[in-house]
Amino acid sequence: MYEKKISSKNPGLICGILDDSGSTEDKLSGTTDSIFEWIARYFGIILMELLARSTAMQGQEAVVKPRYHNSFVLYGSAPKIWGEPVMDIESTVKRFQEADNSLGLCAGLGGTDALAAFEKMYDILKESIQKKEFCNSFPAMVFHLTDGLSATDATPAAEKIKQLKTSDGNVLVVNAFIGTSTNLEYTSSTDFTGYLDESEAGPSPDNIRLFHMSSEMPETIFNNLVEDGIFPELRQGSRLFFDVRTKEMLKHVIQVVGSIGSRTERTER
Amino acid sequence: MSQCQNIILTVSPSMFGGEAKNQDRASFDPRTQTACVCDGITSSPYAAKAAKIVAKAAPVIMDDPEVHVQTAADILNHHRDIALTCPVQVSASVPIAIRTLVQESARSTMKTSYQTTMVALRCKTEDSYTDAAMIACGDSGLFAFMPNGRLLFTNLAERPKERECSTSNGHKTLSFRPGRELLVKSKGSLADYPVLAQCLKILTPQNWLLCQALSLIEKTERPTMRHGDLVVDLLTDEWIAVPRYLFNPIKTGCHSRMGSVVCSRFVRRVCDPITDYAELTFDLRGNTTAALPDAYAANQYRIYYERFPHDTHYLLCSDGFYRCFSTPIQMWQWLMNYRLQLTVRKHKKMLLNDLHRRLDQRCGDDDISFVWLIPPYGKEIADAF
Repeated sequence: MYEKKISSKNPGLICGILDDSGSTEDKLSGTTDSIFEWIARYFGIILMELLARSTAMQGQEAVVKPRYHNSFVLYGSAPKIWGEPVMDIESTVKRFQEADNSLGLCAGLGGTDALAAFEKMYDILKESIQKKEFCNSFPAMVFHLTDGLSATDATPAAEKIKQLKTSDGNVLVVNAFIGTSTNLEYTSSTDFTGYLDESEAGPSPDNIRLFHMSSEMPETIFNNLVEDGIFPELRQGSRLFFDVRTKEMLKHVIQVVGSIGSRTERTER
Repeated sequence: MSQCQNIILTVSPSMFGGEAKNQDRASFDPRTQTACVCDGITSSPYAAKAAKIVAKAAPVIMDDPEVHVQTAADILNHHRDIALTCPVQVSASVPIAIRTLVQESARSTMKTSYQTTMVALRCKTEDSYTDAAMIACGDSGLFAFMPNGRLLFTNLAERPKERECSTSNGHKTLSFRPGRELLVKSKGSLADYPVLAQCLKILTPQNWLLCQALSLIEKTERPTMRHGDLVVDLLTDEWIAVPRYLFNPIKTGCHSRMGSVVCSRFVRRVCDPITDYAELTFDLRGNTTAALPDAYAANQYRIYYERFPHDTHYLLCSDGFYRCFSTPIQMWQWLMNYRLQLTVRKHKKMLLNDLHRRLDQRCGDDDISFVWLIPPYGKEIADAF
């Protein structure tokens, strides 16, 4: 399980559930830019990375292979799909470029209804994951980035998403809680060990809820994150739950998407 | 087995991946008895060319791997430098809005162009043993099997760190490494010490000697080892188990029990942890790999020198081949089951098709290549589909 390599025939599906509520206008700790700007910035970097991995030379010409697809749901009081429900990497980058290198995030969607956003993503995935192009792929990875409390509990919808599967395993849910603090002591990605249980993720009940909503890290992803040096001290069995205290941590968390099913030279990152 | 069916070489491009790859290359040079498998990195432009360059150069590289691995890296870097200066055209199929981005992206990927893994082996066969020089860079596999399928060595399993033995005052440390031989005194057959043989998990104790380490004998015929592989610190008078074929008796008297032993991973300290290859699996391996030329600068390659029994089978393969199986023993059984068919082109083609299908179901299809050296190593049977 979780061993499929990414290819045009078995593309990777990278999804984002992005909090665009009013509070993401706050500055990210230690920076002068707002949280939503940092999210867009680092997602942009990842999109370029996915584009690079999809770019191949055919003779002397560069072409874009549909090795990755994307789906984004932005949410505040209500969920909103960015672009088409599912787009190949070429379409995603085109739209991103045309939107002035943004995902349309602007802290403009009011309150925080995470449940509705997860339900929306569930609907998209339920339909797309059965399709021929994804049913034998590395399972979709759903990234949830939020900066705070939700008026609703998304746990039931997250559980439904985690039950969806391809022939290579269940869909993975990653939660990144921006600006929270936990019981785990670490200084940076280099000594981040990951979260094994709720006592480490606490004390906040919201942390614990997001911890439980997160998938356990598959061994292949664990191996790649350690070997790539993204989280060298990670412990096996950690959840895909991250507390984001700095912009560097946000970058590293988003890099988790780079750890699925690719085959790259180890020293390039 | 006739003398003309002892080297089986196969390169079979991915069939079901949805993208043409064809980035594996394999070679065998009968003159120098050098085998090589290279697997070009998918995300690296011109990876197939890189694999071809290195596979072709393997006989020269293995003349002196310590030196010439750098030459191989230099050649690949030279090709990369040329690629970086060439303009990149973007296909008309790419939307105009992102052509500049794709061009930048393609230009950026040129920084990691010409990447390939490499495993190579040169063997020199004597009457009772084979001396093998091996190089491994990345996730391609190098295996040495006994005829009964027991795995003697693979680069895919890290040998556990040497554990400190309890020391006694007054005993001198003997740093046993390639280039040195050890003067030992034989206590006799390990078969006479069944409990010890059991503790060491040695199943054929009659083929082993129990010896006492005495002192080191300096030799210069082998290059000094780099990269920290295979250095065993022994103590004088420490007991070790030695395969009989590694023991060279010194004729000082009609019943001499004195002898010399070349440095080998098969020499076992009595208190040594055991490398248990039986537990090795090919599942759940990460998807990143080291690759030349970058791995040279990063020291992410290994060179091994080892003495194996003369009837050792060697297998060099890309990850596409070993990922068709869960364990080395499954892979060995497949080779044994289809040994004869692998020498007939049409049968081999069918077998490879089946492997591609199996690989596609497991982790996605990939190029499959391997070189299998069956003792006595003779003429090559090569096929590239």
